[in-house]
Amino acid sequence: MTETTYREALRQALTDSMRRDPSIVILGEEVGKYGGAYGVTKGMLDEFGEARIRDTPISEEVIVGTAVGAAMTGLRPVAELMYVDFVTLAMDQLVNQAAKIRYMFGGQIGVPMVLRSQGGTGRSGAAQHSQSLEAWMMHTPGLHLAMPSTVTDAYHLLMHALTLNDPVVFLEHKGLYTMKGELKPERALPWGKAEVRRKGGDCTLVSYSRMVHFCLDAADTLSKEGIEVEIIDLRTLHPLDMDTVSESVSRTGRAMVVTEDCLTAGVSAEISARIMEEAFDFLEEPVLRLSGEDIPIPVSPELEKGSVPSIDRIISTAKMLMRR
Amino acid sequence: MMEKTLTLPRLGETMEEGTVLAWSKISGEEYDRGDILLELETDKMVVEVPALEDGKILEILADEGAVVAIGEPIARVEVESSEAVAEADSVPETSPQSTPTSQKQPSTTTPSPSQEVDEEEELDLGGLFIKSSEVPERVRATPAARRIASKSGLSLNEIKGTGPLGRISGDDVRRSISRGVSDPTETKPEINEIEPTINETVLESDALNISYLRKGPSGKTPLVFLHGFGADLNSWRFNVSLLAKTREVWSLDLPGHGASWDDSMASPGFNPGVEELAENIAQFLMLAGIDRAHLIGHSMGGGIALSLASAHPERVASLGLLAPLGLGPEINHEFIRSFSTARDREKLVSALHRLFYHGSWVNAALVGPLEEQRKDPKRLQALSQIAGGLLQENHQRWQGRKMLEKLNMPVKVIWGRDDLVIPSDQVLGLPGTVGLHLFPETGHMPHVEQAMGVNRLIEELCAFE
Repeated sequence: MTETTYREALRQALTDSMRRDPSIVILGEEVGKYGGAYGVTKGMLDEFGEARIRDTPISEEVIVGTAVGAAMTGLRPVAELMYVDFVTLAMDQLVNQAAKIRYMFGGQIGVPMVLRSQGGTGRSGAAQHSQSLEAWMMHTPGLHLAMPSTVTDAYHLLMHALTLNDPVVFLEHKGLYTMKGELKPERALPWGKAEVRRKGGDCTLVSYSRMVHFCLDAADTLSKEGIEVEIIDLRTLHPLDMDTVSESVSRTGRAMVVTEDCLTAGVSAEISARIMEEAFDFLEEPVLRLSGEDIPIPVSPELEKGSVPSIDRIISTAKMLMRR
Repeated sequence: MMEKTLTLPRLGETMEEGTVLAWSKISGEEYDRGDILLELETDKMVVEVPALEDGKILEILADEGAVVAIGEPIARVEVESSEAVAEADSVPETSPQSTPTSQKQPSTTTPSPSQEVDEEEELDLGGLFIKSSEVPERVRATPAARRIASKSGLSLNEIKGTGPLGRISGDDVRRSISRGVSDPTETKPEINEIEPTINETVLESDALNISYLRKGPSGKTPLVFLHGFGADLNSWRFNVSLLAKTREVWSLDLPGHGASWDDSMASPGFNPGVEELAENIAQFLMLAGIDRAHLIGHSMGGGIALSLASAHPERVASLGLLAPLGLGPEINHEFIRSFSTARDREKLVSALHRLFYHGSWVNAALVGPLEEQRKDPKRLQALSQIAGGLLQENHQRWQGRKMLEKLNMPVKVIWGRDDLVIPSDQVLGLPGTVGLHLFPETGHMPHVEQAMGVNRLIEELCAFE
């Protein structure tokens, strides 16, 4: 088995897509010569040249605005923001332009672009470089939202994002870039379909991105104590595959949503509400949410760890759900 | 007719008294059921009190502005029935759901005996729609337990809850459903697959100079595969072996491709179009003794298969077209040109990437043989001549859509949604009898990228003979 990193899988997806589709271009801060803040586009300038890989000024509004315009006029741009935290500077371009153009022009024109960025904790990036802002994206109709947790998904979801005719926000996790795994070449699950990462009959853990791995670690410990959890990796938050979640909860009767973003009005709030709407008659316990604290992320490594769900807390919350 | 006294109704849980704001009826006035009798102000709101039956005001006992306690008289009335002594004791602004039992705080635990007594008293005082004896006792049970109990016709009252505070869980209900009934859903029937005898693989060439690969047991109508432009019979490597388990499968090298090649094809006279190639194949099938076949063609091979089926419908049992030529004008002419002229490995690889959704398919096994063939300039020239026959300026030269519309045999059109050579939206507008199969995340080579799915479709297509 050949192993590859999450970062390399992303680069492979960009490379494969650019080789097959000449309309794909990349733009962002330091994406060219430097190869991207997290090294995803390293070396790509040599193959594709400056016409297709563009370094931009330090202006998120320019990056996203340029991508929107380019997408409307025939290209398929991949815009990279170094940190998702900086999306605030491009929110008008993203929320009021990219997401709405197809709807405001009677479907005549779309915005086939991918906005790549990364979020999450784990590198002591402090309050302005560690956030998980997926709830904002999910709250905006018109945006696809993908959050891959594995090497294979990093590749396949990005490949697929580059064939969609509407804007995709593609959020990577800064803690996953060096993660190694097998890149399975065969086609993964379809876009918008969640994947069951572990089968179990006692309770359902719904998660995505890095927290999937925390859940998997917790599951090993829980299994030793006789609790078998089922872990669902949502893969994309829009589309949101509630069918897979509800089917699982209808078997286990217990559900817990594990996310790194803030608890209040976060992704876990949405998903738990939907579980209660769609699978109420199957529930044995209230749906629990385990998400980030409602605080700006601290810089101290210990405080940073404590501000988002830990493996220990996943274990203790799952036990609570099992009344153990 | 009988006379009775209206008393002040209870209009809310915290209400102890109310102020009469205005009477809508005066003494001696008759009213109908539903008419508003008076407006009351309580500590929470102003409400209108309707009549519950027809009647007549005899005397107003509480004038406007009077503060009256619950249950005290407010008027004397004349009604027909002998019941409903305090007929105005209704709750106009609160629905039946707002009975005291359901207004308990969600966090309350099992009600203490004293609370229950209070509730009963309140019910009597208020004279609400439900008599206290009819108030269902809310059993503590999870939603799952309620669903299972209701499905199996069990009453929750008969089940003992083992959960927190005596809550009945789904498992509690399951336990009380008759034990010993085994779960019939978990047994899977065993399938004994009989491995069919596979004939020897033969690579032969015949008088027409068409090479082919034949595999599988004879008996059923054979399957014949026709590859696309610039490819050879190896492009069906993921399909032939599996499908040859149950029937004879023929995979051909089209003229000018693979081993169906000789130097004369490099002459300017070799200029076959789709229809001419179709006639070549029809002739070959006749010589090979194949009276009737299921035809599967990819891209240019799809155009050939369609043309053949249209010219000789009696000889084609069914037709499977993968990303075929001939269903629309659009084609990626740049790809055709760069693919047919690519001499060196780099250009060839760059062109091959357009064929697949996943770049990993462009590997040494694919590139090597193609690169080898291209070392012969004559072969490249023949390829360019064939390409010239397929294109008219920047569009497809041959059109077979009208032919397809007239065919009577079963037809499936199979396409990759992300085909960058011939756009998959050319399937739109085909007759409803044609089966359309679009694979997501798939390029121009669905039989490679989606081999399992395509094989299944081909099996479906030819299952009938």
